[in-house]
Formats: sequence, C-alpha cells, structure tokens
Amino acid sequence: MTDATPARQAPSRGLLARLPALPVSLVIGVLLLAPLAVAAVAGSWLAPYPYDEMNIMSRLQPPGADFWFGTDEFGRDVFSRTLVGTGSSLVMGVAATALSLLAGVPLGLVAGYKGGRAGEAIMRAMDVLMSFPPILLGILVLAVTPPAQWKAIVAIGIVYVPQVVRLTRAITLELMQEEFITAARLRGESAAYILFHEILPNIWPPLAVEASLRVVFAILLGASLSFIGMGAQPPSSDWGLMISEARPFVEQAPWIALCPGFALATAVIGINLLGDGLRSLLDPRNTGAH
Amino acid sequence: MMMRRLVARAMLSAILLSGTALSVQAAGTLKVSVDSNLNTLDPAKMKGGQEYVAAYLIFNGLTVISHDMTVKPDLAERWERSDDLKTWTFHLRKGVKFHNGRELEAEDVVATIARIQDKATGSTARVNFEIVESMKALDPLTVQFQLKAPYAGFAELFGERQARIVPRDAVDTLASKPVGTGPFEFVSFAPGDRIVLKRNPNYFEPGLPKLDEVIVRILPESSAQVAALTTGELDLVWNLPLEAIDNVKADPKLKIDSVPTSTWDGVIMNNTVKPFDDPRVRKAVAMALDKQAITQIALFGNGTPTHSPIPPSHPYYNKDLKIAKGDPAGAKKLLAEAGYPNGFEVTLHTPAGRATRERLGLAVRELLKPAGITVNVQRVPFDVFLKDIEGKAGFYIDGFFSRPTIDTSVYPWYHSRGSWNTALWSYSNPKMDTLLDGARQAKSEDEAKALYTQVQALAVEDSPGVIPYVINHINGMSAKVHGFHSHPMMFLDLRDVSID
Amino acid sequence: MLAYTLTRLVYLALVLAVMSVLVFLVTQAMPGDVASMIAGQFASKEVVDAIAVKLGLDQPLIVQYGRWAAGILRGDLGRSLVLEQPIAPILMEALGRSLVLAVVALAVVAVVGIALGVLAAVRRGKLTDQLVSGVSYLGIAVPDFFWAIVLVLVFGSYLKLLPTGGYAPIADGFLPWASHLVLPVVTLVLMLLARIARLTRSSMIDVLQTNYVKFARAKGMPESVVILRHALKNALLPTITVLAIDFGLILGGVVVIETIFSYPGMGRLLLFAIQRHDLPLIQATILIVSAAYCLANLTADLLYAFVNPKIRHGMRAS
Repeated sequence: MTDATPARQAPSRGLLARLPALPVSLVIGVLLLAPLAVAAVAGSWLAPYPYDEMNIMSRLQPPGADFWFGTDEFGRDVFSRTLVGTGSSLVMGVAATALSLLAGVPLGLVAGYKGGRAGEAIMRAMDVLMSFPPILLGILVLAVTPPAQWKAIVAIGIVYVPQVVRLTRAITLELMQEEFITAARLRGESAAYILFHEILPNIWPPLAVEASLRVVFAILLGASLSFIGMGAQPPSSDWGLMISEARPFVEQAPWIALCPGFALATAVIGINLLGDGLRSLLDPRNTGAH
Repeated sequence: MMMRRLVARAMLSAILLSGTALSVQAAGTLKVSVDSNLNTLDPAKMKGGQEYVAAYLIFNGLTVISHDMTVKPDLAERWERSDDLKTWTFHLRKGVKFHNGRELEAEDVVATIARIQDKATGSTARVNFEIVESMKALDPLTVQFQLKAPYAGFAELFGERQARIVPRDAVDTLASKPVGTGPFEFVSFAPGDRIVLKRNPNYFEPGLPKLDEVIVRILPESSAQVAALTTGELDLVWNLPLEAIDNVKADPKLKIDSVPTSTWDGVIMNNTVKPFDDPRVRKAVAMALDKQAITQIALFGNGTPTHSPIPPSHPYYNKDLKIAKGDPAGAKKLLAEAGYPNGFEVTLHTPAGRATRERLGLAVRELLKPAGITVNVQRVPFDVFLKDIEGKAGFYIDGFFSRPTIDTSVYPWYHSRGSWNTALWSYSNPKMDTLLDGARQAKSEDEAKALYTQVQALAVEDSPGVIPYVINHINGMSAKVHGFHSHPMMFLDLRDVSID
Repeated sequence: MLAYTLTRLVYLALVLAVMSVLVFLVTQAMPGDVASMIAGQFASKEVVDAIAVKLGLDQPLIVQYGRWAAGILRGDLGRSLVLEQPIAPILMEALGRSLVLAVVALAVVAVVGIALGVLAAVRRGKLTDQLVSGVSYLGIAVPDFFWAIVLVLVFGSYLKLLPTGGYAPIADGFLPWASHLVLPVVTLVLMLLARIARLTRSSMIDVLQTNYVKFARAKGMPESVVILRHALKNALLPTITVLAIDFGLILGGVVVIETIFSYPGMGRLLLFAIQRHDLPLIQATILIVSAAYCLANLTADLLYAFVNPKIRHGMRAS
C-alpha cells in the first residue's frame, strides 16, 4: 500500500541496482506488508463474510471453524472486518502523509529558496502549528465539524505539514550551496525551472525516508482519532474504531480487540522495518536509532 | 509568565493533594458508579440520567413518583384540588430543613417554579409548568397554583426530575454547591471524578437514610465499572451496562436487580420529509423491522418489544396487537405501491455515545436491507445531534426516559400539538388528537384503558416512527448491599439501603 | 546563553498569543452551540437567544476575544458554561492529576529506558541487545490504546490485581492512590520506552568508542566504573533532551489514556468540554496544555543548546 506514496517510487532505480545487497529489514518489512497490501486491495473480496453482516444468533462467538477470529457483539465476523478494515486503516495514514507532503513540500521549497519575508512567514506559521501537541491539533481541527474519516485525514495531514516543511526547507537550503544550483542560476534559469528541475528531484530521497516514518505516525494517530470517535464512523471496520468498540466486551470477547490490534502491529512494524531498510539503502552511513 | 505560574500552581496542588491524607472512610459508605460526567448539580438544568441520580439523593419534590409508579407525598404532606381541576393547594410538611439549616417555606416552592418557568434558566421542565397561570404562598406552609386549563395530573408534575425544591436564597451556586432537603448532603464534586455526599442528620423521614456516606464515582468505561465491582472498589453500579450483565451474574459475590421501565428508544421518521411523508413508506419501514430481533441486538434481550411508550407491564397495554415480526417482502410491496419499487437510500443519524441507540441504528440498517432500503448510518456528537438533527433531519434514532404518567408518556409525542411531536416527527391525525384529549378527561380507569388501547392501535397503523422496545433498568451490586430496589424512573433511591 | 533563553521566551510568548487567536477562532467555528446545548432538546429560539444574551455570546467576536484574552493575562481563565464554575480551579486540579501521570511515567521511562539502553550497548550484538530492541520495538508497534486494553485485560479482568479505571484521592491512602496510577503509567511508559532505550544505546556505543573511554580503560579502571562514571555521563545528554520532548508527547497522549482508564485529568476534561460544547473550557484547556507542551519543548531546546556548544556559539555569533 506504500505504492501510493512516493516512498517507493523515487528510489526504485537505486533499489534495482543494489538488489543483491538489500537490507534484511527491508525484506522483512516487505514480507510483512505484502499480505496487508493484498488485504487492502482485495479485502472485501477475500473476506469470508460481508464486513457488516449481522448474525445475532452467533454474537460474541469465540474463534472457531466458522468464524476464525470469532464474532463481535452484532455477530459480525471479526476476521472479515479486520480484513476489510485494512484499506481504511492504512489509507488514512498514507493519504494523510501524501497530503502533508503535497502541502508541505511546496511551502518548504518556497521558504528555502525564496527566504525573505515569505519564507519567514511560512516558518513562523509552522511554529504555531507545532506548538500544539499533535493529537490536540487533530482534535481541534476535527471538533469544528461532525466527524468523518476524510476530515480525520485532512486533520492528520495538517498536523504533519510543519515537519515536512522544515525538512524540505533544510534540504533546499543545503542544496542551494551546491555547485549545480549556482551554475543553473548563472545560466539565468528561472526560479521555477531550478525548483522543479534541479531541486525537487534531489530532495526526494530524504523525503521518502521521512515519509515512510511519517506514515507510521499518521496511521497510529488516525487509529487514535478513530478510537476517540473522531475518525472513521460505524459501521466501518477501521482498526482503531474496531478496538474502541471492543472495549465494553474486552473481558468476554477479547478477540474483537486483539485481532485488529495485531493487524495494526503488523502494519506498523512492517512499515518501520521498511523505513529502516530504505534509510540504510539511501544513506548507508546512518543506521543508528532515529 | 502567566503559563508558568499556572503550571507551577498545578504542580503545587498535585503535591498538596499527595500531602493531605488520613481521613478514613465511614463504615456505612456506599460507593456507586455512574457512567458519564455530570454537567450540573442544579436540578432545574439537569438533562441526563446521571444528573437525576444526584438530584434524587440531594433534593426532594413536592410529590414523589414511587416504585409502583403512583404519586405519593414528599415535601407536600397533602394537597387539594378544586372541582374544576384548576386550583391546586399544597400543604408542606412541617419542620423540614434545608442542608444549610434554614426551614423550608412555601416561598421556596414559588421561587423554584418561577425559576423553571424563566426562559433564561433553560430548564427542560419549563413546558410542564406553562399551564400555571399564577402561584402564591398563602402562608409559610401552604402554596397555591392557578392553572390556565383543567389538568388532573398536576400533582405528578412535581415528581418530575427537574422540579426539585431548592432554597430561594442559594440558587446561584446550585450547579457546584447544591443545597436541598434530601436524605444526603452535598460534600464535594470533582468533575470527571466523583461526588461525595454525607448523611443528612435532619432528614424528615425518621431513621433514614441508613448510610453515613455516599460516593458517586464517574466511570465511563463499562469494563472498569465491572472490574471495580468485582474487586469491591465499588458497591453498586447504577444502570449496569447491558453487555456486562452476564459477568455480574456469574460472580457469587454480586447480584443484579432489574425493573421494567417505560424508557424507550425510537426510530424517528420525520413525517414532513420525503420519503417519510408517505404513510406507506413509514409502514413499510415498521413492517421490515423485527422488534424481537432488535431487542436482542440493541439490548441483549434486556427489554420488551412494545407498540408505543406504553410498556407491556402496564395495564393499559394493548395485548391484542401483534408485535412486528419483520416482513421484508411485505415492506417491499408497500414501497412499490408508494412509488419506490427499487427502494431508496437514506441517511440515519444516531447520537454518539448512546450505546443502545447506536446498536439500534446498526440493527435498523441491517433489517432494512432486505426490504431494499439502503441505510447509511451517521454517528453525530450529542450537541450537534440536539442542534441539527433532532426535529430537523428526516431519519434518526432518538430515545426518551420514563415519564411519570401514561398521559405524560404519550400525549406530548402523539398529539398534533404535543410538545415533543412538532419537534420530532410532526405527526398529525385528528383521530389521535380526539383519543388523547378524551383520555385526559376520562372519568374512569376502564374508559382511559379503552381509549389508550385505541391510541396504540392507531400508533401502529400510522407509524409516525417505530418504537421497538422499552428498556429494563438494571443495577449491579455487591451482595453486601441490602434494601436496594431499582426504580422504574431510574432514580437511585438509597434511603433504605444499608451495607454490611 | 541567557540572551538565547530570553529570545526564546519572548518568541514563545508571541507564538502563544497567535495560538490563542487560532484556538479562539476555531472554537467559534464549532457546530452546535452552547446556548442550545444548555437549553436542551426542543427549546424554542427565544429560549436559546435568552441564554445566549445571558452568556454574552451575542457580542461581536473581537469583543469576546478581547475579554477572554485580558482575563487570561490576569490569570482568570473564565467560567465554564456547563459546569457554571470558574475554570481555573477545575483545570488546575485536572492538570495536576495529569502531571502526576506524566511525571511518574517520565521518571520510569528515564530509569528503565536508560538502563536498557546501557545494557544493550554494553552487550552490543549479543542476545541481550537483540532482546532489548525487540521488546522496545513492540512498544512502538502498537498504539498506546491497544496496550491499555491488553493491560486492562491481563491485570484487571484476569488477575484482578489492579484497578482498571478511575482515580483515588491520596486521602484514601497511598496504596489506593498509587494502584490507580499503575496501569496508565505503564501504558505511557511502553509508548516511550523504545525511543529512549534506542537513543541511549546508540549514543552509548558512540561514547564507548571515544579515546576518552579507551584511555580510562587503558588506565586499568574497572569496567563498571568506566561505563557508569565516564561513558554514561557523556552519553546521557542527548537522552535528557529527548526526555523533555517526551514530556510534551505525554501531555498530548493523555487524552486517549485518560479516556481508557477513566482518569479524571486534562485529556478527559477536554473531551468532556468538546462533547458539551463548553467553549471557554475548550479554549482554556487547549491553551494550557499547548502552553505546557511548548514549555517542555523549549526546555528540551535549551538543554540541547546548553550541552551542545556548537549551537550556543552559533547563537552568539548570529
């Protein structure tokens, strides 16, 4: 599902070239994520039951032959719900990250390249956004309107814009010192040309690494927002929402919470490993903690 | 700098909190939980069941709705009504004292009702007292009301939750420091955490209450409530979450007490909004909904299917009517007649955080599917629900607490001029109006029963909305708790309760 | 350093001022409104209007903001519309309880995280190292609310060892008070442990390779002294600054944690305020939490500048 983000696209040429030396973490990450990717795309097709089909005679059934991971309080199949929920849960993180890149990269480029008042204004605005704790900013954005998943995506996108802006600006500033930029300037190229043809292609690798980390935070934040009722709405089987709805039944039917919980853990570990792998691929010197 | 000082103060208070100590709980302390924070301790402004819990412990009304749903004297030891049912005189009990030591006077009653009538107070009980033309204190222990129209149920209105008598000189601080005449005195309220109450030594019922102290803890998570009950951290869980009942039943140290109520949830169809302006569409929806199944899904079976807010436990209940079994084929046929051969798509709004109503909404979605109606469930925060959905949207789930009498349970919803009707489903049928008006003037029980039997039949025939069930009120408690009886109005009556 | 600190403080004040405008405007845009919330179901428009006038909600926004901001500068956070009480005492009590959670969690994270990190660094590449990174990975892989549910299940429902929700004032005794803290604190710790452990590990590894440590070893000092007295002292600096940032993260994270554990702190107060549409309470809560968050971040920055001469000199130069 990371296909949707630039995380995989940008370095793909490099990946092929270094195929024999692929980092272990990258391989494990991909292996963990592959089934989730399949579930995200074809979940409702693979699921043994419709995710919202109620079967009141078999509510709160423990895992068994008919229902592999049991049923919830409406007799809905937990496995099918988790499977179908993959899309919702991961798309939230990926789309929000894409959104923050979409808004953050241009802002960061302007701030870094033009500097001056515009740049200053952008950075100060980012400072204000960053002075809210992330989940609080999300809540503040979401409290304005009735909850819906797309609004949660926008909120998370906004939460992570400042980080993207800062990173983009920092890299741009660094690149501005490079000779090929100076050369382009001396050639009399337009600002737009330099930004799009010289700088943009060069800031993707670090941004891709950043994005892969960001996706994890975005997925977790999305799950948290769904959990407190401000993200995906019922009867959606978004994982955060599933876990939240499972709370009253945690003692009688822990499987309702555990199944989406493990799915979430798999996704997060997978993407983390993928990110670690990407980083060591793109920047072999930096293999320590982040 | 300001912020720093605030933070410093908070730190300090945290340290001080951890410093003070040493008060040991009294022997007769009952620890009870409610499932949501309270907005206010001012009875006139109360709107939620958790708040009524506090109202009932701290305050009294002129009258009280007793466990058998009849009206009994409370602060008024007796009352008289004129033959035209327009003049009502209440005689107060002598020597009743507020918790601040002052004696209750008739002027307090006048001030209490005047405050409820004041629009700026925003009391939901205001409509009840619109019928009052004038009132005055004849002497310190006698208060008289003149009504605009004859009304036989006037004494019952004083048993309503908001009509608690408050001291006229302490109304401004009721929200945070309530002063009443009730069995327990207010000690402290930590929003989100707990309310502490202590025994009122001057309570007017001799020998009551038996407990020394009541701690009402606010614990929204149902798993935490049950866990605390099993470990003895709590003695009583008010309005036990339905999903937790089996756990409590399985524990020999715990017990359950339950009572049928006339609290109901409803599938509201706005009769003025397409497609629900067509009675055939509403009838189709009603036909497709299997009430027994819904009761299972939404309440785990802890309720009873019904036709209207009149509960099956009531003598007026119409036993000849059949409870809808769910007939999607018949519903489809009706929909085709109404011009929807392929069904339609509609958004159903449910208020967030009301578990039974959320489950009801999802059940409706599933049960209407085979009838060709595609329902999109939209969960709405409660404040938005009150402002933008209730009375405005076409299709939503709502619910109402038990009312003290059959008239107050039915009339406001089904009469075309009823206070809830116009703002809920805008249902209007002159025949229904005649029946309801007739019931208000019924000379005998039999006459009233005959009329209400017809009301229920008509309510099912017209289906302004679907009332699938009335809910049981259930309390879970430790076996050490004695003398507790669940109240059909969901009041927490602790006067007779004791604990080992 | 002093000049740097002062500049940062002035800047913080500016950010907070802008933030207060933002918070005020956003909360004004909220759906539903407090007057109709107070008036309740089916109140007529005149009732709602009467309440709005009583609360001053009918005045122009700029007047409302001015009154609000002036109040805050005086230390008056306003009155809660729903609770009908001054906000400051309620908020401070809730903040105090949240701070107890945060401080205890932070202390545990510091002690356990650093210990694990040092252990992993010393036994680099061995089983212990891998165990530590594996366990710390688990902590961040699963959202805090999931850990919370697992903890509730294991320690509350099955073992019946600990209360799974609520709060006991210390007046009830130390044990009841402390026992209510355990599960929320452990959840927060699990959330933060991984980062501290990994960071300590990597900076410890760096320090252990410096000549300074090699020299100490060469002098024949016992290994424990080398590690604890010489290496750790130097390795800790980056860790400490991250701890300050984590403190801010905890303040945000309590919203979810307090919900699950029915803990009456800031987070639940905020959700309560949002549900009841209590504008002054929402505004005050967000502002105070964000201010605390900013202070924590500032502390982190200052600490970092303090231990990292490069930044200090850079600041002086500019």
